[in-house]
Parts: sequence; structure tokens; C-alpha cells
Amino acid sequence: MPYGAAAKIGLQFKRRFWEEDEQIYGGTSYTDLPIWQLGYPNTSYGSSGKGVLLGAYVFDSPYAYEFTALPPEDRVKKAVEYGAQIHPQYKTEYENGIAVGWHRVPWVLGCFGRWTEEMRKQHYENLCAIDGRIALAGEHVSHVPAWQEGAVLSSLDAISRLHRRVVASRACHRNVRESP
Amino acid sequence: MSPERQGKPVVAWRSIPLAIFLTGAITSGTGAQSSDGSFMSPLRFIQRDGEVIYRTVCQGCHMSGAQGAVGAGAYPALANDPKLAAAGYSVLVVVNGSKDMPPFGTLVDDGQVAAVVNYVRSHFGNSYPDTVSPAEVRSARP
Repeated sequence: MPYGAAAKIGLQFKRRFWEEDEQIYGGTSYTDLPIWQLGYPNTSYGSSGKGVLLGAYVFDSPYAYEFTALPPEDRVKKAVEYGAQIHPQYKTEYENGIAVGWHRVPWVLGCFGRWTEEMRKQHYENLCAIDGRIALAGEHVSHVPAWQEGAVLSSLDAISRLHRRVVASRACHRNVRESP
Repeated sequence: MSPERQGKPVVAWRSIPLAIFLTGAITSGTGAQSSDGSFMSPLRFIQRDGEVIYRTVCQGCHMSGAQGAVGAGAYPALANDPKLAAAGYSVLVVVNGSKDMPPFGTLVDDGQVAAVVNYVRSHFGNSYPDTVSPAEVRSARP
């Protein structure tokens, strides 16, 4: 299964200018720029000192691939350039940043399983089925791909099916033992 | 695109038209846009040159020297790649995806596929003399 591309960029600023200057306390600015979204911290409102914004969050779009294709320092530079169009304070308050492109994280295949309706029809039941000692769970084994909700629902489903299977096999053992 | 296919982006696409409306007045500046055609559209790749497409898209996984990478997934090296001998195979993989590689058919047109396939098949230690045409890409689409 192909996995969707996504990129997130965190930007550290000298002060929480979005609160001090703009009265923005948490939440998200949706933009039509390649950074898509700015996420403001939902904690420590009004505190002095440095603050970190989610400076870009893109997924399943040319922008996600394009951010992934850049070296990390260039991803951050782009996010600062674009974000400065929303908040000019970037130009004086920016300190440093960090960028993650999901396809480049060594221990994952990408950000999320990318299903199509045809793939679901063909493979979903097989993927969910317990096969010998293997039971899969995760957002990619759910009807809510990409979200934690999908991962949690999938884990509950897998554990429930595993439980039923174990209980059924014990009942079977007991019947065998107790039979004359 | 169907809601099923979108996964997480279902939420995002619904919110984007509203977002554009709300922020249109303050995002008119285009100073940060790239001159190579990248970062121009949320829906399609705009860049047309094969080298630029490779550098701004493909190298995200296949790496800047086309040497590939291995982690949880395996992104095959395209450098010195005997599999590229059959141009039609490269076209099919780009258009339809393969294993954990996503399909790019809906994000690029026939000319873009031909450009990047021709670029990779003639660089990174590959020197296949034949090229693919946009018409050949069209015939590879499902």
C-alpha cells in the first residue's frame, strides 16, 4: 500500500507575538499558501519568552512532496518566507526551526495508508484478518486513515478479535479435555 | 477524488475554500514562490522540466543522487538501474505507483511524466538512448 506524503515544520520565535500583538490564543490559521496551516500553541497562554508555532502542515498534495524533496534547512527557510506573509513579525522574531518529511522518517513508510475504494474491496478484509501469529492494527487497518481515531479503533477491534479467538480456543481445549 | 481515497484530507479540502476566502486579503504577496515551478499549486505539479521535476518531487524519496534509501520502506535506487531499460515500465510506475510508491498519474500530465522518465533514464549513470513521448504515456494510463 502506498503511504501519503506529509510535512510538518516547527518554528521557534523570540516571543509569542501572535498573543502579544494579535490576540491569537491557540487554534489554526488556514492559508492558501504552500504551508497551508499555522498552528498556535494551545498551552501556556500569556507566558513570556520564546514560543513555537506549527509553521507548516501539508499532506497528500504536491506541496507535501515538494517540502519532502527539500533539505530540512530549506524546508524551514520556505516556511519562514511564506509565514512572514501572514505574520510580518517573523522577520524580526524568528530564531530557528525543525522540519519533518514523513517519507524520510526511517521507521515509517510515510504519513498514512492511502486507500482507494478499489483497494479496500480487494484487500481490506485480508489485511484485518488474523493470520497465524500475525494481527495488524493501526490507522492503515482502519476506515479512518491518518487519524489517531483510526489507530485506536483499529487496536480495539484487533484486541477484541484476538480475545474472542483466544477464549474460543480455550473453550475448545476444555471441551476436548472434559470429553470422555 | 473520492472521500475514501482522501483519508485525512477530507477535512482539509472542505476547509480550504473557506480558508482562501478568509485569508485572501492578506496573502496576496507571492514573494516566496519558487521560480522553478514548485510550490505553485495544491492540486497539480506545475514544473515541466525533467530535471526540475526530479529535484523538486522524486528526490524526496529516491534521494538527490538517485541512490535510493532504506528505512521501514525501501526506496529503490534509480541510479545505474537496469529496470529502466524498458521505458514503458518506468512510465507505468510513475503513473500508477508500485508497492509503497504512490501513484502520480492524477498530479502530472503526460508531458511531465515523459520529461521526468526521459531525464532519469539519461542521468544518474543511466544512458538509455530511446525516449518516451507524451502519447506513449497517455496509452499507459488506466
